[in-house]
Amino acid sequence: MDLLAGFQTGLATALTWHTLMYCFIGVTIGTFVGVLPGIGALAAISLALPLTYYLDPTDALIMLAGIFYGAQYGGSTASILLNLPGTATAAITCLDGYPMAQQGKAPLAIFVTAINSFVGSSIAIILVMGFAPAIAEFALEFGAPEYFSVMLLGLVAASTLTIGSPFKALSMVVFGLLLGMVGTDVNTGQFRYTFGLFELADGFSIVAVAMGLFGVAEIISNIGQPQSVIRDVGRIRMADMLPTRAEWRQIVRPTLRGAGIGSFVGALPGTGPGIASLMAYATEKRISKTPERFGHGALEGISAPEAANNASVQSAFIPMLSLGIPGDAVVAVLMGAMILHGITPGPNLINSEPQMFWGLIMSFWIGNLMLLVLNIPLIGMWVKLLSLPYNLLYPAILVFVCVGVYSADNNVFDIFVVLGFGVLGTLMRRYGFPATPVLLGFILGPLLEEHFRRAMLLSRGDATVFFTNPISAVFMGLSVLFLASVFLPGLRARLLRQKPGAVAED
Amino acid sequence: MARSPATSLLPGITIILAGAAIGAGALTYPLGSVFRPGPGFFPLGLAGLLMATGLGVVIEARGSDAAPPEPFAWGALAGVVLSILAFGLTVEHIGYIPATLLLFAICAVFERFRDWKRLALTAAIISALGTAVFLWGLGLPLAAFGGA
Repeated sequence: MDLLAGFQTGLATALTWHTLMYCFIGVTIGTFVGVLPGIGALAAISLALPLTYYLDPTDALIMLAGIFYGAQYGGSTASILLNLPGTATAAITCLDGYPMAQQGKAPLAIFVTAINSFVGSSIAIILVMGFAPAIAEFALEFGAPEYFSVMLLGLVAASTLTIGSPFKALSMVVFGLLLGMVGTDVNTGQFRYTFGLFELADGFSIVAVAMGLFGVAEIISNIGQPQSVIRDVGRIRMADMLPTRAEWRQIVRPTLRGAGIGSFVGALPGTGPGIASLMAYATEKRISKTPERFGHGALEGISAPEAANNASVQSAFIPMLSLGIPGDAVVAVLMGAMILHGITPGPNLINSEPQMFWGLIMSFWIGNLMLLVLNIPLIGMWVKLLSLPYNLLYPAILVFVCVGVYSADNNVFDIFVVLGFGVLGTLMRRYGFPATPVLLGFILGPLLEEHFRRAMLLSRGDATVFFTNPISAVFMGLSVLFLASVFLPGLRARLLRQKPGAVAED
Repeated sequence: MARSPATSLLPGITIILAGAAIGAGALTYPLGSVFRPGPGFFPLGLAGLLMATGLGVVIEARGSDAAPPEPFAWGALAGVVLSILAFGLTVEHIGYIPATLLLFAICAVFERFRDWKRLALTAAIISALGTAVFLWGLGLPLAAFGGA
């Protein structure tokens, strides 16, 4: 199918009234959780996941994706007005956004971030439209060895590119893969690691694992935090929002550069919006003629990172939609949602489910437009939300977590699974083990094993097949390169020099 | 605050032990052969990898002076664990609304600054909202009050 036909299919899908409605619900929930500190896009998507069992898969995916990119908009609003990053990825926006608010330029900053977010997303969406079908077509030729090695590359890259200890990340990937082994072996029917529990015959539910590791663990870590002080943000008037001509000129280039960096970084596995906005900020500061303005309300300092994080959120869909490989935790949960609906993402997706693929992409645009329109008049309401005390909010979230996982299978067993992973996730946070690789490994574990076993069967037990097959050899070579970077600290330090400070998990 | 070396090595050692236990589990499943790997083959390999990465974590922890984590909010952990546990154990027997109230009550007990009036109001809203959305809307096999 060519691009134009895809465009039409997509618009026809995305413009039906129910799809528009779910897109709207998604971006609204996303903005909501983006503004609220202490509950991120991932927790919100895991919470909404069970509700989507009752929806058409395309609508479900559009709504869940809307939460993901909606949260990026919401996060920047809280950063600018209150110096409170609603999501970890918006932390960079605080650096220059909050000083702008202190100078009375909050309306301008909010308008600029909304426009930048829209432009950044749009550029990345065009790239998704161009690249995802091309990569998928290339990947149609893939056999078992290629799949195995491209998945391996995704996992290795995701764990070695993160900030923090690569050993911890690698161990968590392996742990996640092993979690994926729990349940019935598809080839032989053998029960593995079920400990005689009938409930584990189908393995752990992805909803329970994600909600425990991210949702419950996040709640536990947030309870102890001191309550934020809500300041008066004053009135936001439309007239103060519009940039002057000079200000427009000031933001054009940073926006485009930010979008470029974000699109590239987002498409790599393991590097989420946090790293994208950090890199965009560092780049702007380095090439600026007046770097001393950064941190004191430089417009470039908000426009580049905002364009970058929104672009990366959209381009993160490229590897998932074309290869079936999620690059970060949120996309992994979205992929889990597709699998639950009986759709396995991969190179065949575009041909077998064109209305889903193109509908999703077109909904990105519609959703971003909604956000642009929605964000500005509703700022006052979002700010009021921030005054909800957390000690009232979190028991309510816990109830929704419990009922949410229960509804997945009508079984209380999953509530205890959530609890177990919540405690585990809390301990992991405390000792600096990232949770994202666990989830990536968990999703890809069964697929990786299946392709490994198929490759071994077809090659008659010859493990060199992964290196003699040319495409597979390239992926394996890249994996080895990433692994080698772990053991060559000098190289690693040079690669990561531009990314100082810790970016927390979202 | 100085941490004893044993504590900083604990996470890595835990991973190594977990790897050993998982590997032992994998040995109880048919391993198959390289020509036709059985259900134990892949987990056994992964268990070995897990132990290797655990060793890496141990070595890394030995060489570094990691900042000690801030004091742990045991109350928060205990409150969340007990409230979820109570909800899971009771919801099918006493119904959605009593289980929700129980969860709120346990959370409140572990909270330092509790405001019973607002908590009760929130609990009532969540009870009503949840009953409408989950029980009536989605038709979950739970009763608002009492066993299903």
